[in-house]
Amino acid sequence: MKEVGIKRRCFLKFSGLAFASTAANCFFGLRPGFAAEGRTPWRNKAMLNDTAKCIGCLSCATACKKANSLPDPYKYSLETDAETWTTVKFKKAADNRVLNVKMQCMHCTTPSCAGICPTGAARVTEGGVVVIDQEVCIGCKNCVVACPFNVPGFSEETGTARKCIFCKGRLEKGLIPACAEACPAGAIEFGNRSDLLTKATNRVNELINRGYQNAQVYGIDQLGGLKVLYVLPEAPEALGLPHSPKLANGDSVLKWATGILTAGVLAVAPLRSIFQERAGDGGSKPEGRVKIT
Amino acid sequence: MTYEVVWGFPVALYLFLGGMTSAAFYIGVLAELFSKGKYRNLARIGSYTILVPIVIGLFMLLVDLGRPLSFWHLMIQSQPSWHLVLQTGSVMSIGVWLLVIYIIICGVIYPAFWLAEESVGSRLPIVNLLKGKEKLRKIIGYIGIFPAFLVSIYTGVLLAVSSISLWGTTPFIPILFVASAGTAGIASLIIALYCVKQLSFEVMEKLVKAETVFVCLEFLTVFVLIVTLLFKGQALEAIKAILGGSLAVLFWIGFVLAGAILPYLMNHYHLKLRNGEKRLPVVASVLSLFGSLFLRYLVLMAGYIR
Repeated sequence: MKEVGIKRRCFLKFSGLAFASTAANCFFGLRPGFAAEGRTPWRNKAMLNDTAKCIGCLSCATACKKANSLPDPYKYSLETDAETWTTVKFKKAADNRVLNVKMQCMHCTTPSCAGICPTGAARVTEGGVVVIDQEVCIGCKNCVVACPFNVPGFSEETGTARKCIFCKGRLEKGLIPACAEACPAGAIEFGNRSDLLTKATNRVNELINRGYQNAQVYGIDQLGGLKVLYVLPEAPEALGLPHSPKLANGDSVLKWATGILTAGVLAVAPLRSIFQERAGDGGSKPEGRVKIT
Repeated sequence: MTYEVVWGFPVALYLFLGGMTSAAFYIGVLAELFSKGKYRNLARIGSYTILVPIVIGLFMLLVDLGRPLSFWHLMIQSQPSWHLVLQTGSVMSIGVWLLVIYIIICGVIYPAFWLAEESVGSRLPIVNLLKGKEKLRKIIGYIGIFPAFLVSIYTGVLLAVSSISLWGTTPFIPILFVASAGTAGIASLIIALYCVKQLSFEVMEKLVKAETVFVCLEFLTVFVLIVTLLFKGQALEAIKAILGGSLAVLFWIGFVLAGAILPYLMNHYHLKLRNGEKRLPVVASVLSLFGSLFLRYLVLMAGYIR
């Protein structure tokens, strides 16, 4: 009887906890499994691409296409586009070695695509993942020309701009991005950004000791910090990455101002001197006015 | 070298028509203002050249959209509730509203005042109410100068606010497009005046002078843009293509020779003859319009060469 009593108490205790947990989840809209970490446990997560470790097998590109139902999973593309959300660029270093640079959306903290999007379709989601809302996108292609990494592509099929979404659907299920899971060389890691930064710094020191004097961590502070970090054995430019990527609309005020100044000064002033009627110029009798009937 | 066209000919045409109509408007209104009414006919003719081309231009923009039927997402959205859309960081979003204001003021209201003075317009309902409202017409014309200026500038800023080196590295594309819009606006005024048989020698002389200013500004900006980019080591492939590569014919023959130098010489020759054939400046203006269009197409295409 005593044994049964304990079991009943345990049962009641766990039932109560389960009920409270379910009620809390329903009330706050929390997803099962993420209650302890909030709705976006991937907020502080990042990806680390170790260029020195990448063997260029393109498992990441294939896994990405399969996970996101993109066409031609085994077709190689030189650039990321609407149907290739991640690829590997093969860059020749100064000493003729080929370095493999995995490219995908960098999920910038201050992304150009979200800044210039006229409909608000491109935006930074709660967990820091940059997405292009396919329901809102009208396919104006402004994000395609704005991205300093040349990542988004325009899909003729959907009529929208598309790009890597950091496998947001997988993250919501508690999984890691497909590319990181598929990498057989350990060149793509997914984890806490701070841990990855420490790891990347150690790797860079290791590379410098091995003679790679230009080795560096990329993505720490570019565009407010990238969600995709890199260990680069060479300078970013040598690997096709911009050293200091600019926010496309960062200097839009300057560009409006130069245009206004041109129109205001360089166009209006000459027009004034050309059309201005001075005393003795024959008055201001309307010229060439013929009624149209 | 990658050469994937993002914005093609329809966008070039849209930028060209936006620039041309806006310049025709502000040149006409400013001509009337500065001449104290002597060249008011330029304001009248200029205002008539806006609506049809700008509607064609907007149609071109729609054609270029991946989802043309969702174009209203640029202005109105239904999620989470119905609201107007203005993304202040987006040049395209600002441009859409500018175009709306521009079309309403410069393309519809202002020409309606002029139309009311014509025998055709005075018979139209609503329009005939505007007859004789000269002061109000002038005020609306002056107000319209601002959206017209901004539309002219917007066509360049749209490209300049990007990560494409040729367009975004320097602030010169807006200047270039303002200058080019000026030449196109003057060309459209000359053609329109010829069509209604009101192209006098005196007006032609003034317009050619103004065109000279815009052409000089255009060439100066192209020169400064290329030198700056060479100095910065940016967009080198694009510059190579423009000066001596795949886009060289379009640049040297289409823009420089046929689009700018030839029309300039033809117009000056016409003025020298004084009572020469008026079809000459019209041909020159048509060439000038093509030159402006080629320039925009050239700038777009060169941008994709990386």
